[in-house]
Amino acid sequence: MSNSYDATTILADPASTVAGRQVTFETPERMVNGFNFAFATGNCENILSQAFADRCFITDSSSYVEMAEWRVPLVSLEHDDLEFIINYRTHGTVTGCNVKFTVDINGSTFISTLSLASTTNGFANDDINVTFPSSGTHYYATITMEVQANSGAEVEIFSVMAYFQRITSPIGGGQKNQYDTGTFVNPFGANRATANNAFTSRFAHHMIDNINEVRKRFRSLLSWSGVYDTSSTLFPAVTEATRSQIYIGYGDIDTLIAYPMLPSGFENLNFDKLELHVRAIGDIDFTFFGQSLSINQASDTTVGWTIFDLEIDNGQLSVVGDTRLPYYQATFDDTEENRTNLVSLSNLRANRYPPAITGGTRTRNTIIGLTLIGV
Amino acid sequence: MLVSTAFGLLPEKTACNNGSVLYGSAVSSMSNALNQLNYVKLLNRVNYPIMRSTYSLALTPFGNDYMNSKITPSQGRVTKGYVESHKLISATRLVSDWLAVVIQYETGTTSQDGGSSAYSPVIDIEIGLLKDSGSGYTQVAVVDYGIRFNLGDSIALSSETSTQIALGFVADSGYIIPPAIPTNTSPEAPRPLYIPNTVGAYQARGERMVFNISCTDCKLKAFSTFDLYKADRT
Repeated sequence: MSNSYDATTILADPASTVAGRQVTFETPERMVNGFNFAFATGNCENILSQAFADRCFITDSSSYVEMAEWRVPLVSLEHDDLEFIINYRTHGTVTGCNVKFTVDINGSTFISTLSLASTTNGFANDDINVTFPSSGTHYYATITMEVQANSGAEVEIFSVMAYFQRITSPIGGGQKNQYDTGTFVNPFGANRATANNAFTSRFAHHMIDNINEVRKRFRSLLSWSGVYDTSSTLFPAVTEATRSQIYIGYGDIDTLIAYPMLPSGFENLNFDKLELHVRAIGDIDFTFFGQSLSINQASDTTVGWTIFDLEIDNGQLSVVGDTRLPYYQATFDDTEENRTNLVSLSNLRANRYPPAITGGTRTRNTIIGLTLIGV
Repeated sequence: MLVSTAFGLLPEKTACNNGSVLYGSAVSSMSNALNQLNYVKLLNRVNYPIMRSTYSLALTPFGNDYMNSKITPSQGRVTKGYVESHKLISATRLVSDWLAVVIQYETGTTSQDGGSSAYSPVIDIEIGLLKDSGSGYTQVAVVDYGIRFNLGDSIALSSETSTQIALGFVADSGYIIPPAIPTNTSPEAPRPLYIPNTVGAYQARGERMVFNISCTDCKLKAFSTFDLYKADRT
């Protein structure tokens, strides 16, 4: 009675159980398969996606330096195999170039190291197994990326992605957790639904609970990090390299865009459903997706993440693109607040982070990382 | 059958208790909700912002350290003959088939406008299949030879002459699914991209794909894909 799934039979006919139709087992069978499939494979796609133009993300540092940091949503507390893939190139003679990802889940850290070979345009990957804390609610991780190059070499990153691998069929036995260790999902034994067995009360209770839990699964809608610590001796000209973006600026208004999907019924979901995670230095007020948000931290050198639950004003939002679904455009809005507070020609920063430097307009009151996740 | 896009209300659990009369619509709403999960909520989406250098001529009087933020919507400095390429990776679903593409790009920061035959921005998008044979990922097959955006199809030119601020544009592949799977062997007019179940001896759906994107006379600012929703499925 394994909790198996088959990708070819996950569609159950809602019309098969209405009045006047003979009830057959195929509908519950497909519901079982559909749920197991959704739980095992749903959102096992990119949780982190960011790309960099030529010479934008480059380092010649011989020791690990922090280059970027992202927040990503977890898939569930059962999906523990996380893979990183990067597209990169190297310059010079490579003897010891590495990329290190540190994954932090509520204080538990896990490290993935990618050893880089000499290439002009190649891929590197590594997957690690993470262990989730045994109690509490956990739905996101913080990923820090560090890079090092051996003497005489430089590493240039073109794109970064990460994803949790799906659970292969069958799902292991027993109760599972979405994000909360105290709330359970019950995958179904497929054999129980492949014959005319009784449609039990427990089946229905579990199915309703299961659907409610998997509806909470977050998707990654936008992952952006500044590239903090570039360096290059091979390409020293400012027109050529090492002038990466660190702070969100005026130019990100209406151009750094995420596409949350807000179908009918979204507003009735009674759990966190659209969250903006912002990494900032000091304090800043800004407007995102129609909402004015404030970050207040201990000092102007405090660097930290702040989470906002976004409220949705559907009437104000516009549908984007030809994708047939109610996708909306979430971005830094063209407001006076953003024009004043984001980095701009009249609000420049005189230093690159790191480190955060106290005083004036050195590094403070800036956004250096941003993630939007939604159900 | 129709796949509802909405997060529909689920039945009260007490309606399914032992001894209660269980109406077919309760089961129907659960089926609907599951179909919505698999074919709406969990459709694959990938969104790549593409960071570019913050170098700006306007900032040079302030010094190099001031070049740390994006102060204009676009980078500018697109010159005739400029080329760039990107390899953007996507982990796909076992049921991914047709994908819509939405791109942001900038172009046309010379004095030449759309009427000039000398300035011809092109964006080609192809899908390759990545496999890890034990020594890292390599592209082992072309999944879809892809599409081409150009002046005749979706790409717009700005008449801006400034070297500091270029206009940004958005283009998309559309959502109309072609009646037949594509057989082109070079990029064709924009349409949704297609992932077959298998390519040669390789499983394709559910695997890692690389979007090979090449740009001429323009710069890519963001790249997004969406598994296409199909209202009617069997």
